[in-house]
Amino acid sequence: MIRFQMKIAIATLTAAVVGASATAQDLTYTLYGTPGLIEMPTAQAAPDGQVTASLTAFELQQRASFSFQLTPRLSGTFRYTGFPNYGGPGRGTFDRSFDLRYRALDEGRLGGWSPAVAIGLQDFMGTGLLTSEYVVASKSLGPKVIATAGLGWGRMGTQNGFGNPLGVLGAGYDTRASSDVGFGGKPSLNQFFTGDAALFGGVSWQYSDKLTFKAEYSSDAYVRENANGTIDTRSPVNVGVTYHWKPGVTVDAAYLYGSELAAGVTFDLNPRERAVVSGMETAPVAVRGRGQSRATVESWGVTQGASTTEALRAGLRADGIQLAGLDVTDAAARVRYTNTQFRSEAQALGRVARVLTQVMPDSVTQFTLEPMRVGIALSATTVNRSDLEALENTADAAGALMASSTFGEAGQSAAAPLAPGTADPALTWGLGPYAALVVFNGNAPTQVDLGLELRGRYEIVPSLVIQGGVRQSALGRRELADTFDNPNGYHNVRTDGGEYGVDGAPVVTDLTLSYFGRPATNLYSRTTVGYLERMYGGLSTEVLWKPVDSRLALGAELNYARQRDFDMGLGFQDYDTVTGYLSAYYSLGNGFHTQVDAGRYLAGDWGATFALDREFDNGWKVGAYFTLTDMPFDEFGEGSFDKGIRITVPTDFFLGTASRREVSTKLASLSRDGGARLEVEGRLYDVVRGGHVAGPMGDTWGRVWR
Amino acid sequence: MILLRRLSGVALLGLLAACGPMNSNGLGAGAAARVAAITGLRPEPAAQAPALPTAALAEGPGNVLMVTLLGRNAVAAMTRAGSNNGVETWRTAKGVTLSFRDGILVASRGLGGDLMGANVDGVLAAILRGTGTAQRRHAFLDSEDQIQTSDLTCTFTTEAPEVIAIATGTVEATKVTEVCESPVFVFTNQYWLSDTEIVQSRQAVSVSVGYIRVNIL
Repeated sequence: MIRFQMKIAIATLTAAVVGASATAQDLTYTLYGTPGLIEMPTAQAAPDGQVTASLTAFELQQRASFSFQLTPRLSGTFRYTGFPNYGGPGRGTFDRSFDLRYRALDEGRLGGWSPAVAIGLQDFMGTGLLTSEYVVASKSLGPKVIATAGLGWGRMGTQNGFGNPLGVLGAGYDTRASSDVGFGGKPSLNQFFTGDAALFGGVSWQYSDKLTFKAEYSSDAYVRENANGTIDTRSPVNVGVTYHWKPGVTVDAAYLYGSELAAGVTFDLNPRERAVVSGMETAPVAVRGRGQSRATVESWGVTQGASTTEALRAGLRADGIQLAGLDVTDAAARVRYTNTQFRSEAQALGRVARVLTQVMPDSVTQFTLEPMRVGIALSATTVNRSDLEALENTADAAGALMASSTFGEAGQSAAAPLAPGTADPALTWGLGPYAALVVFNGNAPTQVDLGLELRGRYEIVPSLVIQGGVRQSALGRRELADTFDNPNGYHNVRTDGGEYGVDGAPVVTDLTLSYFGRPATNLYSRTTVGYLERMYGGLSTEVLWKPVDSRLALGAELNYARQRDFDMGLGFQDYDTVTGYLSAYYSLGNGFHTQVDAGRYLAGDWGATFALDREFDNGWKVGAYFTLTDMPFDEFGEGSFDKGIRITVPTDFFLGTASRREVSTKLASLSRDGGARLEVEGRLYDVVRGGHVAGPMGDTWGRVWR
Repeated sequence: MILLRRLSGVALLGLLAACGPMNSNGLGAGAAARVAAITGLRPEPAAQAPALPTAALAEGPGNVLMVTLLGRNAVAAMTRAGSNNGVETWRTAKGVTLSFRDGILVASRGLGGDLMGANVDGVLAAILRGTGTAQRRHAFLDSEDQIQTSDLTCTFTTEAPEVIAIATGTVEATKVTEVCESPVFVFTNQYWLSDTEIVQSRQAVSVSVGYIRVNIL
């Protein structure tokens, strides 16, 4: 059979001999969706970058958790928990919670005896129904058994709790402050590691590749739940089994506290591990060595005698790339194009370069490639034809081509633009199903809306675009979810979001006219007018300063917004406002990006939004943000301030073929009136940065020869 | 009743294939991708007799390659798609290419786990010698779109001649085996030589793709 074997098997064997590591093997998850036993954590960590989604349930609590291993040591979890009997039988509530955990010590770091150690905060901000802190140590005993012991506070300090050992640091640690819930959403700093502490521990035994058995001594006594009679804790010992159904899916069953059955399913996925690494999209055309025939152009449906422009247009169209402009002098060609097919702008650039070798006369020795988006050229890469010829199919081709090419701003003049419309349609449209998930809307955990969406887009010129969408829900009139009544001194700029489109009639999601420009060196502009988003219409203007090779970008945005009618037709309500921000964007390296926006928000509140995203070079993005404004927490309402997690998934990661499509999801706290921003399509930073194909910003250069 | 109507509406939506070049918000593709990711189902090329490119065949022997993906049980005919700097690139009707320098595979495109490029200086000479060693450097993409290269040391041995089928009949061919090792992986290529010409070969593409067998028609 295939003897193309990986040596990884040998490497694993070596690791087992040297000493098994509790952090590397048999990762199981708790019912909280975090690495651990059943209810209690271990010191294990998921592989760097891992994204985990978990759904678990027992009679008292149903939890949906989303975790991200932000760095090899630091991970975060966002959780939504239903407590059907929190206030007593039948009196339920829902709550959001955030966790952070840090693996402070790897196993064996201090010698063969030393365990892995992690420190964690569970439900550390918000209403705090699950609030705990813990320090936990885990140690492998052979390749199949992991033993864990830890010290917990808060909920995890309630079973056989004892005086806080941290009391030696000060009397303040001896008693836990009563939960100052207020409107939630703030870190409960005054509670951290205070009050009684208790020991917990357990062991996991990997019986086979598929099955792991777990037992633990839980330090959560479920005090409140026992008091109101919704649980009968007969034993602090929990037992469970984990079944590794298939890669990425595990199923859990457990017996809790001598009286409760629990079940869970966990999905994990690592953005750093793609199944179809180089993609199944068709091969690029080969480089034509000078002196060879132009026969390849016939496969594009043009004759060998076709003009250079016609052949180029046909060759690019075969790869989903639209030709926008072409300048040819004796020895140099400059081409502008819009890539509609490849997530990687570098991959598109490589394809354009190879098509140029096919169609350009042999006398042309240099190609300048200018990728465009929304009708504006975003960068210029100049490659030597001789390098393309010499490097194709060699092992170091990508790095060598980057070294021998030059990168800069696109030329200011768009000399010899080609008339649009001769080959590429200016009007595009789409009709298809949509699904909108309304998550965490008041007391209803999820509301799903399904229906049909018609979208259209017309380029008057490439940089002046009309686009819009109309939706018809298939579910008809929706009932409004119960919402927290939250009277405050501000207009309901977002609180009424659920009212929009509930009557089941067709709605206009957006309808805008946008103009993009490059007013000066390194400067980009956008003007958008119309129905900007489902709740607001108006005028949005933006400028961005972003040199091609700069880690820093600066932007300014000024908008006039007027609230739309609830029926999402063409009418407006009385509320209008001016909002605007000054923004700074900085790439920290290693895929970490920060953004700060400071200015005036929709409700007229002033403040700033801070965001941190980890972007993987293959297009995955996972990030978090929060907004603090001068709106008082008690006027903001539950959650105290706006914050959330956002995730973007490139569809080519799964499809295995080239696509520019991506799916973005935001897990936000309640959408309320403080720190609310306009949702405008085509904000400049993402548009412009997407066209910067090399240097610190262009992370996909490895695909240039793909 | 209302529920029933709603459900039928949802079912209708499910049946409705998205249409138009913009195709809404990518819902269908996204859902399919998630299903594929969870179930592990991915499109695999079915094994079938390849359509023969008659025009290229008519030009005489040496103008068509018959390539078998040994790990996927797939066969395809390839025709010449270009020549640059001593490398011949061949293409299938479905748009997969393989590139060879002196009959030695140096690149693939469109197989999912492509060989992005290879330096094979000295390999042909070692094949013709049938003994000794040569160095290779192979390049692959990783999951994060970066190029990773592997340096391999390859050892050549000559084995007993074998009779193999070629376009014009059969020929007794010298068989040379090449074992290449890097710190990460190993592979074994085989070449069948008639005089100094490689008339058949079995060569590694990548860990995920496995081996191809190449015959010249």
